[in-house]
Amino acid sequence: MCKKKLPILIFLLSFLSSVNAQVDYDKIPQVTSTYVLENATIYQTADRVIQKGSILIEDGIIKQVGPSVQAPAYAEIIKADSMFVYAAFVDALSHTGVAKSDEKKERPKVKFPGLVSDEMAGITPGTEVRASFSAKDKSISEMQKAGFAVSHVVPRGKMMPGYGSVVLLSSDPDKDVFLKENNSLFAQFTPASGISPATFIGVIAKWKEYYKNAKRKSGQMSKFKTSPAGMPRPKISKAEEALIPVVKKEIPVFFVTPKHKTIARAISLQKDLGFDMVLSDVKQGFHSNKKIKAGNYPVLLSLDLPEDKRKKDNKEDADKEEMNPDSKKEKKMDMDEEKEEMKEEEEEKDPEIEALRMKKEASLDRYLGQAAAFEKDNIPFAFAMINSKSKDAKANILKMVEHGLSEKAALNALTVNAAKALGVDNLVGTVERGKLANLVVTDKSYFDEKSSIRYVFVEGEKIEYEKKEEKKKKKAKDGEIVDIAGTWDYTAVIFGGEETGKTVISGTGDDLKISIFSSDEPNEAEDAYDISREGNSLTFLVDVDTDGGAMTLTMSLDFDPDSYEGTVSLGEMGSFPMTGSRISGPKSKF
Amino acid sequence: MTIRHIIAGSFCLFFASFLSAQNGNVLIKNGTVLTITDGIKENTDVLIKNGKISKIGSALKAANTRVIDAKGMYVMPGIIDAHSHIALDVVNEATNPVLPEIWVGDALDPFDVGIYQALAGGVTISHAMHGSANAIGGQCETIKHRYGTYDPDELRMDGAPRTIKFALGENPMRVHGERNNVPPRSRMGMEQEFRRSFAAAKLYKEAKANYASGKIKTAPDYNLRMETLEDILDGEIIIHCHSYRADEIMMLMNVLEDYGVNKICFQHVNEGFKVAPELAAFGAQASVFSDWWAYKFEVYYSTAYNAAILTKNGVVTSINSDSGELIRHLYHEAAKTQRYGGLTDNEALRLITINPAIQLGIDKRVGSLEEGKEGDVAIFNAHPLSIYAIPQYTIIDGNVYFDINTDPVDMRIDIDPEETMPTFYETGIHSHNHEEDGCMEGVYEQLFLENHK
Amino acid sequence: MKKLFSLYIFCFFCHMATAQMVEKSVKGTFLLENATIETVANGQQTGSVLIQDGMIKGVGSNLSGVPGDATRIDCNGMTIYPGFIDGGTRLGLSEVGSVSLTQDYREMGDFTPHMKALTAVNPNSVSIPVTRVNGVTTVLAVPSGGKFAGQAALIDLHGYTPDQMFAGFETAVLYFPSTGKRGRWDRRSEEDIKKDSEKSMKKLNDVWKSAQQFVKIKNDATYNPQMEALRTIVEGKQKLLVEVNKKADILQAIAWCNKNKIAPIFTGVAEGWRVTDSLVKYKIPVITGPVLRNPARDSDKYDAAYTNAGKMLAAGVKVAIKTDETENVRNLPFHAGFAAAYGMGKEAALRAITLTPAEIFGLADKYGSIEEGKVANLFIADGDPFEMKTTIKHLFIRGYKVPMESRHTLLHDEFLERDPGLRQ
Repeated sequence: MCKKKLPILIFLLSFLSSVNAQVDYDKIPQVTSTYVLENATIYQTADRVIQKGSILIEDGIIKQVGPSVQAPAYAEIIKADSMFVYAAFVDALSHTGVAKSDEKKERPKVKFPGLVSDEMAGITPGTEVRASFSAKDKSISEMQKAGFAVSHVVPRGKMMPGYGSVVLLSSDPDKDVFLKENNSLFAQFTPASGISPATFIGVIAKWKEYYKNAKRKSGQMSKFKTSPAGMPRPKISKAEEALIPVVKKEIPVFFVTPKHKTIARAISLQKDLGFDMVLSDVKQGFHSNKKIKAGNYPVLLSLDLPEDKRKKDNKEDADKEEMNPDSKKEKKMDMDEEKEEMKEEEEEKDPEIEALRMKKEASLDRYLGQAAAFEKDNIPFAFAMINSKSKDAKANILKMVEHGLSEKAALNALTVNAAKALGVDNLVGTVERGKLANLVVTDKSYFDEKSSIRYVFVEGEKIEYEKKEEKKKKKAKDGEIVDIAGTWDYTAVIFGGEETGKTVISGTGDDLKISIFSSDEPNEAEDAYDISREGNSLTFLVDVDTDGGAMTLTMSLDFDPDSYEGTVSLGEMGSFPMTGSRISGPKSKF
Repeated sequence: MTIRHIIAGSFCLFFASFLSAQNGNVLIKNGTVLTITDGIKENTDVLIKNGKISKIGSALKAANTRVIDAKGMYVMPGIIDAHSHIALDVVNEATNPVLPEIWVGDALDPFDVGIYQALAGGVTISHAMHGSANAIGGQCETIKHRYGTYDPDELRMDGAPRTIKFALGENPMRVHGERNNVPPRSRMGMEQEFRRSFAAAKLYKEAKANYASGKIKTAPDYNLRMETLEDILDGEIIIHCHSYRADEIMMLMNVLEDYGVNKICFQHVNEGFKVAPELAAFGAQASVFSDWWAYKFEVYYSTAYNAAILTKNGVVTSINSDSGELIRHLYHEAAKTQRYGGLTDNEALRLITINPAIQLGIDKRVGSLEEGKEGDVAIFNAHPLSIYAIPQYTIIDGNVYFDINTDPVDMRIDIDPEETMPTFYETGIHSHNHEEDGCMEGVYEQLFLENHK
Repeated sequence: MKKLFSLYIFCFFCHMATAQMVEKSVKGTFLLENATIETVANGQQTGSVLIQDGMIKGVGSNLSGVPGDATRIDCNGMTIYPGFIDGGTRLGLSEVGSVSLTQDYREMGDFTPHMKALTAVNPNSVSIPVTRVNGVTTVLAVPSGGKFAGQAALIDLHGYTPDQMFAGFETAVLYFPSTGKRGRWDRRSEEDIKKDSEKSMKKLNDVWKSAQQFVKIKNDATYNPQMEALRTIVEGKQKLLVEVNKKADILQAIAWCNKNKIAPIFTGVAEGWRVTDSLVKYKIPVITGPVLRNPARDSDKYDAAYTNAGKMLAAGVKVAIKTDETENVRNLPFHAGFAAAYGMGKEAALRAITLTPAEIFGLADKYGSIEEGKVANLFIADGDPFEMKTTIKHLFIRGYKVPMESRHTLLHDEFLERDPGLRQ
């Protein structure tokens, strides 16, 4: 079932293909693919560190690693004094390289919502991720940037989207990046929309029926193979057939189980049916430690964490406002004397709010301390990027370390644990001779808040990053009124999809004109109306056409001199984050 | 970790510490004990040991046991709600008129603070039901309100018989016929849903038997729907049927009679009083609202005297909530049968104790205060049928889960890490919007609202 | 006891004899003798109550001037209570919950203060007799929907036309912009809600500015019923009903009413217990309810709604109770009973559904207590009317002796012992 390939075979093929390829003069020709990293602190594993060591990379492989290596003449020498080298990170589950389908999310029109095809129901276990994977997808370079060289990628979909594969996150479009193919079944509790299964309990019922049929028919098929006489040829559906490797425990099921309750449900289902399961994208696993340990389930923690506003700004004020709107500094209405008095009464510290905040913070600490708790309980884990943003990965790992996770455990989770969970630990996950040259090189310890990634090697392919400049977002000073005129870009993440474009603001004071240009239709402007501005907060409405008809969006943005953030609201459908930065203007400032 | 964090952490651990300190032993002293099955015992002690009632008598003593002084108080069995939707993350899978393979036991939500609110009304057991969007709906789960646990499995009442939701009348007709434009659209069509389902299950059963006896070489495809229907035909699952009108109640009894099924409790059954003699003769039970009516057309011709008339006709009857609000004062709902029909104290109390226990098939274990039964108890400061009664303690398996004197204000156990001030809901009565019963929760969002995520 | 029993048998037979006939209300002169009288205004008394011409003509022992032809009702062992008043219902405005064409409590649009609930009250709603036999004689029928939903009207639960039922209080209802969620299904984010409510608040202010302008100028050339409907309130001659529940909204509503010099009656007021000081300070009367509801926030104590009325009263707020019900307004005494048990006390809870709402509606001279000169809305019970076990024996509305009959009792009488019974 699984195509096993020796790494050496891949290299041979890639070498040949480069010889046969036609010349592309747009490309800067590669000078060498042999590198020596010199005088670096090398974390071969979390436990094994070479303080001043070197690494020879050739043919995509770590040829030598040690206090010193013999550098061939054709090698590029990289002076890595004071730098840190780690095995490049392994993402144990994500959709990296698998773009969202453009299909409209319209509810399929069917006569009987309870009688739909497997495809409509989201039961497509046989779908191979290769079909939807693109080496050119921008998520690959984003993952590289965060230090990842390998992802376990899975198709998008609903309850059983299909088989996953382990891929190299290479920028080389000609390379066969599949390290291990169809090594997992991807599953989630996601129902279909408006048709069966419309709920996660429907999903569970489908699981039971399909799994048991796959099991039954797998038996029938082998029986038919050996003694077909007098037996009707077994009928098996595509979906059932695709489940046979799961039934036979040839491949595990990677089940998305972020919350405590989803973990419990997946474990119940697993116990009922008996397949091999990896708990994936776990965010609230801290109530389930015992169950996870008892079942010996491999665990992939999410690298997404709840927002911790304690340090950034004073959340207290926001909460107080919610309960006591009168304590607002900006008054929405004229306030008469009586109301002023009331404000004073209300500003006393409310013990109820205080208690609620303490509870919330305790809860927040449990989320942030999840990884530490797992370490303490000796439950090994890796990280899954499936619902995390790669650019937040490091900040969130540091947050976990701040909450008690050891750097060693964090590094193991990022590297060798993930490699083991995917069965590729013979190829990746450590800095050892013979392993793929997948490396992350940082200028300080990765766990130093100020460190930057300088190089990422993906099977010997060098990707270099400029040293991160200490570019701090310019913040509006207290009381400063930002001149918001100018051209800005925007990015809004709506139902997980990114909408981008430009916002052009002209005028001053109360006389503002705002035009929105979507990237989809860069020449057509939508003008905003009902514009109101208070301080550096701007609120306005925009009418847009959507597939579902015309719709009014409410945007609320808080401006700093060169950036803004805020929300775009779609009425009762919810509101979504929107950010942007200045492209041009205001001119007068200089 | 600042000191503040440590203090906050101890809030979260409140349950863990307080429950682990309990060992299923409790001695309730000097209460007026309403046994339900064995009269009223004044000034009597109830001793619960290892979760079971070990002795009811006077001057009982026990070591290593928490003592509750119930002098001047009323001690009754934990209240049982034969129809609720609390502690569930999903109530309805509405996509098909016949969906017995669905099970709400997969959707238990131990974090629902509604469980605690029910405990604060003396309710120890509820029947967490699937909704009423389907003629044959999902299977239900009988739960004990062991609030404080994070493990959904700990809510289950192990060993309780399996139950399933059926539904007649407006709800399934509206979902499938009126909105989706597929049968059933009428009460005629409703009957045929049951007949064709049972007939198919019989064929499935036959095919399995033929395979077992070697008559056919290939086993039929595994079909969870048919497996469940087969279990109903075999009497392994108790049917709880959402129903209102007299004619549809008669219809289902006729169908069941044809298939030899007799474990049936009609739910809501607002017009049950019109066919009370027939229900009694069939051995069917009834679980009703105390006074809900007129929220839709099929309950327009109903009466709050329903429970009393059914009881007086010999139908095993219970009063249920179908609502996260009513479940908090079922003792009060039961008392309404005294105004509407003049039931005696014990008749009224049976409606929320032993009778629902019978309907859920757990009456050998709970529903009355008898030695050997499980230690589920509710203690009130006044007679529970008085409007002035306030629950004081609620005990499950000998562990105190509600204590009016020591429980903190905020009893949530799953705290949103990003929100300090919990949401304010304008409509506190969230299960009953004056238009329908609680059984339709989530259906419109699921099937008919576009943009549903 | 024996005597009573035989009387009961007699009545029973009378009833049997006339079973085929519709029992009608009877107007006349009634002397309710040997009773305990819960006057509400003047404590508990014993003696008689004389009803004549729809009014209470005398209360006490040794009444003089009792006409010889007065129908005497022996109330030995029983108590007379003033009829209960529900300060917020949909009674008469909706017949069957799920049948939209039987619902008349909501007109389309956000600004419809000229809609009159009284117009749509159905005097023959099946729910009316069901309600009154539990002692509820008077209710406020309240429209809803939008901000200014229309004019609520106080009605007595007896009569053949809306006008006959009208009890003398009618005013506009404002649903104050809310920053809470409408239900568990409401998926708006905190920001969305804030924005919606700010938008709503802005519109409310615009409406009010226009209304003030309308009152200030005289423009006979236009027909403007919406603004006209707010005239008495703008002029300060009438009170405005303001439905508001969340703490922040209550404070906002107080500020808004103060600013616009509006005399409000707050209704709902679920989080009143959080802001008792402000309610007391600005002397805002409150009609709170329903008492039987879940806490508004998951973090609230389980009995937050039960104790709300008592806490407000204890702090000095004038508190009446409403059910917010339609077909089950009959549960008003039980809402009051729960409030009584959870801190309010029996006496105060009784006042909260009798004299206090009458005072809030400016009708304390006519309603809410058993005193000479008041409208004869009262009932006779064999015990505490908050207790479910208690039976209400007789009911008077505007001096009519109303039969203790409703669809619910009639169905009971027909089906208790069905004939034919079980068909063999």
